[in-house]
Amino acid sequence: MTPRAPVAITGLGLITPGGEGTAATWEAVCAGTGTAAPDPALTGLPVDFSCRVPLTDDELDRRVGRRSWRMGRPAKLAVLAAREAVRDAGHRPADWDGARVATLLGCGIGCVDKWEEQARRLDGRGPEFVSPLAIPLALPNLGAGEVAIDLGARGVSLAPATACASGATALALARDLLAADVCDVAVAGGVEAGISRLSTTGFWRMGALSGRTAEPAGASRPFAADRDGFVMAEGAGVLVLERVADAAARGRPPRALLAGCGATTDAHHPTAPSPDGREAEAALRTALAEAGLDPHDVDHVNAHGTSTALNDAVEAELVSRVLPHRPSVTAAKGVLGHALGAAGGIEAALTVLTLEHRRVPPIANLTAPAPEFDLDCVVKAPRRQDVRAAVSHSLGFGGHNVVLALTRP
Amino acid sequence: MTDTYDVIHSVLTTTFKIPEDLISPDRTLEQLEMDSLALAEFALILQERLEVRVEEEHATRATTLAQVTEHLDTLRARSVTAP
Repeated sequence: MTPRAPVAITGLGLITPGGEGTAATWEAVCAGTGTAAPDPALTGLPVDFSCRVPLTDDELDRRVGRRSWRMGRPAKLAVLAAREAVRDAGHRPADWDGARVATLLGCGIGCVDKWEEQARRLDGRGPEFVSPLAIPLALPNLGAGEVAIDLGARGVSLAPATACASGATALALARDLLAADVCDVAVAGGVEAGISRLSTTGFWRMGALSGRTAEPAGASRPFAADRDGFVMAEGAGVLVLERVADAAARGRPPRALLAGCGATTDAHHPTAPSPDGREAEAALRTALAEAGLDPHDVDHVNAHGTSTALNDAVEAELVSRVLPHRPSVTAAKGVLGHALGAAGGIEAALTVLTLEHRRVPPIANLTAPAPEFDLDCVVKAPRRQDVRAAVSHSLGFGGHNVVLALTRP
Repeated sequence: MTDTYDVIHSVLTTTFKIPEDLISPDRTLEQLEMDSLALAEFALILQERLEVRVEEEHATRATTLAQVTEHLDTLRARSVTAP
């Protein structure tokens, strides 16, 4: 496989349980303390905690502005993260050719809490009491739709749904659409605010969630021997991508390069990862080949690391098999929980920050990886490391494997 | 004098985030940038707050806030006197 042209990442926007904005999120992730806490929306359920963006709906509405009344929480988070990313990239929506701007925001499940509320209204009070907003609130593509409206972005837009890989899928698609000259700027990443009583109970019934109700902040512990599941989270991670020559022409040095993307499918089981990890490995190898990197060039892995027994075992085995030179490994879900469809976007942005700051954040709640994992996990404190090439893994229910290779410009 | 106008005012500012200085009895819903989706949601919220159902033709984009108030007051008076 011949290497492909990288694309420039010129802007980052984050709104996560670590805080509002990229700086606040980076600081929280570097501090390495879990953000999970009891969640009033989940009171009385077997798993009653989650990682929430620390802003109320009122606070979000004030920031979003007049159109917030018709938006679910995912759309609000998407709009705020996208505005930050576009500002950071030095673009002004008033000036750009909106027809050449793509909006690609992955979303796993949509605004299910509002959907459930409307179902209760239908059952309890009748059809007349169902809000006319039931559908627009719940549609998973309306994060992309509202962002496009907010930015005047009239090029192609879509919300890829590859469950927990959705954000990474959006970034890989953005790279392809830029390469194919379908757009000049791509606003891409992931958004999710799908913490509801039913979604949380559903994940719990699958055995996917941590049950550490007595110690929520310590519940998400990727690669730990005593990990027992992931923690529900919400957030948005949006990046601005453009062709390297276009970024150079307007005098914007890239913050990092998206140098390669690999996407494969297990074709094995709806929710369990293929135990041999061969398709995830193929995604990793494709991303490296596209980036013109050999496995030993990879300095750092931003792991999917969900803190579930199965994911972390398959992923640890994959990293130690394909990257046996022990690159540093971090997993942001220890701090931020698992923001499902947003995770790939958030973690790609964090990987950019690691490349820029030469700093690898620690995995929260981990003193050492489980003894059977041959991984160099960064624990307790951030590690200073001259990272030139890194990979970010995203693996989703449905057997979706997406690996992004990012490099320093 | 009923609280109908106050309720309308509060729904417009809190739910629809319309700046207070734009709201006055002679404004039409269109002038407040209420589209058809917004009007349908507006009608549902008023129904829940005032326990009367606004008829669609009495809350169109051309209706003023004073007219909505009057219509709701009529409905409310009727529902109180109804057996």
